Amino acid sequence: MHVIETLVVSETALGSVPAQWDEARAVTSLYGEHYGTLVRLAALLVRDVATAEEVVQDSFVAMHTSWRKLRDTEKALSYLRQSVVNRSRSVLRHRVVVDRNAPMPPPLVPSAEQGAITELERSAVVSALRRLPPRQREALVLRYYGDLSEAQIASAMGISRGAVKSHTARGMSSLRTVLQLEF
Amino acid sequence: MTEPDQKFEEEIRRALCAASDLIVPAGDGLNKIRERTSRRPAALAWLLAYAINLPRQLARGGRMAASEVAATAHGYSSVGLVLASARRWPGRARHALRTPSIWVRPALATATALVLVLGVMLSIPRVRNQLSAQLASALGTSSNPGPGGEPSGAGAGGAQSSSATPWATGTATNIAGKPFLATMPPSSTQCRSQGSGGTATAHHSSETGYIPPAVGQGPSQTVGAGTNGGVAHLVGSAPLDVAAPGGMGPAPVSVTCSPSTAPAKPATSPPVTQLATTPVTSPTTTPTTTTSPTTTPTTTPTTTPTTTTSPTTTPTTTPTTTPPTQTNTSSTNNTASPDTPAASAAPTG
Repeated sequence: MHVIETLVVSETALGSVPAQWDEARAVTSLYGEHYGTLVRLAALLVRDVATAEEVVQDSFVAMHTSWRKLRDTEKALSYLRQSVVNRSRSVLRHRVVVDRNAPMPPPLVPSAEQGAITELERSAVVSALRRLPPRQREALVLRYYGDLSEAQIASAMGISRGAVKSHTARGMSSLRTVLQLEF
Repeated sequence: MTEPDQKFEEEIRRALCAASDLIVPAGDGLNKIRERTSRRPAALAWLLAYAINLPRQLARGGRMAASEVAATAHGYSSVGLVLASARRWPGRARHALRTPSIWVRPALATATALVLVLGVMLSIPRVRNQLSAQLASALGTSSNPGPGGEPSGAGAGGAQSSSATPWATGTATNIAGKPFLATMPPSSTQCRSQGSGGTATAHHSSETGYIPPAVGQGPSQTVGAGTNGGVAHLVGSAPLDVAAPGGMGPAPVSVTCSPSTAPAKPATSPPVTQLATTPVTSPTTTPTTTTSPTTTPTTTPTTTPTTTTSPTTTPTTTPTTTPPTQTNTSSTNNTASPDTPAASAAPTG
């Protein structure tokens, strides 16, 4: 629960990122406040901690590169979140292609990351979430883990609020069906 | 929202948070980010940052200029303040020149833009040729033969155009009752027919007006296009059409010699009035011009071949010898098309 509080508090405290900050200072500040939350968000989407970290680091680098292009630097967290969602989507798309063409054999010795993933998959909700379509999964994760509003989810996913409602409702229905079937 | 729904949502929220608590990101993320951001070449980042800011600065400058214009229109301009500050410009300029970070970036950006523009311009062959021609003419060298180069024309008659003068100097007139009558000066264009087999020559030199004979065989010949792009058509001793297709080639010339044996018929094509105005010719106009017999009946049998095709005959004299029945038309442009022959005579006599 403290994660949600952290995210919400950080969202309100984000206005403290002044516009005159340079990119290095902004990256340092945003990293200290939101890196962990964003990595967890990405991990719930891509189901891989290492990949989630790469995704978030890519997003930070992209924000650092285009810091001067940001019209409203006070919305840096929104930019970061949207970047994380988009990059997670790209990772999943790429993973689908890779799995389709050359399936990787499972490693013989489970690594620490593999252990984390296994722990993740132990949760019935998370494993049911995994079966949902990507958009529905994104909407549910942003809604119930990120505790974002519909407008924020729409901004992060790059879709309309109506589409957010639709994805959330369908995802909840599918999740309920899957969980009722399992239990 | 019903109570079971709220319970279900709470359950999902708890499960997601519990699952995310298991994830502990590595502590070296910031170092990795800094390493990746510093890996970018400094010069590239420098230029990129400037390029990113440039449109914004331009827009800001435009807005300031617009507001200044509006203020001037309303009578409370800040030009006085600007002039006052302009008195301090020499000191500022010295300071700016001593500080490279102020002027090196715009200078480099300008140089890069110039190099890019020049590269793009020089990569286009047409522009490159034009530039080289202009440079050559500016330097006083007139040895540029044009993109066409030397005409070939060997054996089958030739079409030759001089690139020194873009187009011939012939004049075309439209006389009432005669659909088309081209009057050419003696030195502009001539059409010559030799023998009955159609040995003919079409040679155009807008500088000298000399039309040397070329060896053309057969009743119908398509005279080879010279390397200057000129194309000559010769159909027996009848219509000869010489035209240079467009592009950068030299003068397009259209010469039509009507056969002396064809029956007289009213002209079927409208008179061509746009002569000597459009030097550009599309290559599709020349290969098929006046090659069909149906386009040649504009001459009468009374016309003798010597009047129309002898080397000494000029286009100006030809219409006067056989005004009503025969027309030897020389056109200095390429408005002749396969469908509308450049020369057509109506039997007015």
